[in-house]
Amino acid sequence: MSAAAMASRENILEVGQTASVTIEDLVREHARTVFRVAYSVVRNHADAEDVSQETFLRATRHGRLKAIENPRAWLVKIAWRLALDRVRRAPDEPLDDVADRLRSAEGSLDEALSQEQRTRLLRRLIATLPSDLREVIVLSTVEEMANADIAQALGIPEVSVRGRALRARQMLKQKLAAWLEKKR
Amino acid sequence: MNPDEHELEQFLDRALNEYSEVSARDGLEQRILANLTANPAEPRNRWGWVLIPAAAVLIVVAVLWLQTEKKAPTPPVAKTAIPSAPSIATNRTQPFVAVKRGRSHRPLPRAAGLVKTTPRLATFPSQPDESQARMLLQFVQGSPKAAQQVVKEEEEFQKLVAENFKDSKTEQGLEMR
Repeated sequence: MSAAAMASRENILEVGQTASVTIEDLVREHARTVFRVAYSVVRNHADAEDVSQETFLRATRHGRLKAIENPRAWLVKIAWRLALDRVRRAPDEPLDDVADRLRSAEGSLDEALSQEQRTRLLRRLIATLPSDLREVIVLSTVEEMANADIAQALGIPEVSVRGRALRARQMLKQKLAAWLEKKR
Repeated sequence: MNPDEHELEQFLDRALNEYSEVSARDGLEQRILANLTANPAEPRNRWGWVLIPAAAVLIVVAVLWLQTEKKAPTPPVAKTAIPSAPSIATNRTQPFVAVKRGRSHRPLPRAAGLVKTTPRLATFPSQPDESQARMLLQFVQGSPKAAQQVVKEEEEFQKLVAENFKDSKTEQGLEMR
């Protein structure tokens, strides 16, 4: 390790027990959640990891980490915004193979498609939702995110999260049915 | 394929569960911490946003105060009754004089003692001609007898002129009578 790197590391540790220890705790506890939130938006590993790095870098600039009530929701909020800045519009992925598969397949709908095909189809459907419904349904797909965390991350009441999630699910179902009808 | 309501629900449940089911590569936390160590971010100085405007206000106040201090104190205004301007109604008896608009050529009043007035001499230059005086002096010193003679003749000439002038005046007076 170079002298400059050593000095900077010492500097971080000297910033105070509050800053250095807390940020390390935050990284160990929430890095995976932050990564998944970022991934739910950017949809690739490299960009999701970049967003995670940037999220914790911004968190260290805050200075008063102890004052934050819900660190997970706070970190998710930062990651969510950074991810949205990175991906403003989802690319239109082709779904011809999905339609072909559904036409020829027998049995139930979810068993006819592979996981990758299901995710691609769902992503296309989610992209057509209104933004307020889209962000709630995307965040709710992250396993660790409870309704309270989503509400805090988006700055909306928890009741709204439940309502929007329900409406988003209904709309997705309608859109899926319409898409299947169209491709039949 | 014509899925029913239950199948659609089942598909959505499964798809939504899988949507963000992803695991980061091993060592994500170590990479993030290493990045934080390599790029230490200084915590933002929150007081900076307060101190900078406060300093600016102080500077402005100090400059204004210095300017007011430099200004000479204005003399106190005497509280005397201001004579009212003569109204048009009171001056109706006086003839109306059209006032010529334009630049006034009235001379400015001179402050007493400030401008030194010197009497204007009849001849210019005011000093006597030194060359003539010097020549006269040389003539008197060189030939004093001749000079005396000239003076005597000049006196006689002036007497004759005076007598002739007196005679002509008396003659004119007799003729008028």
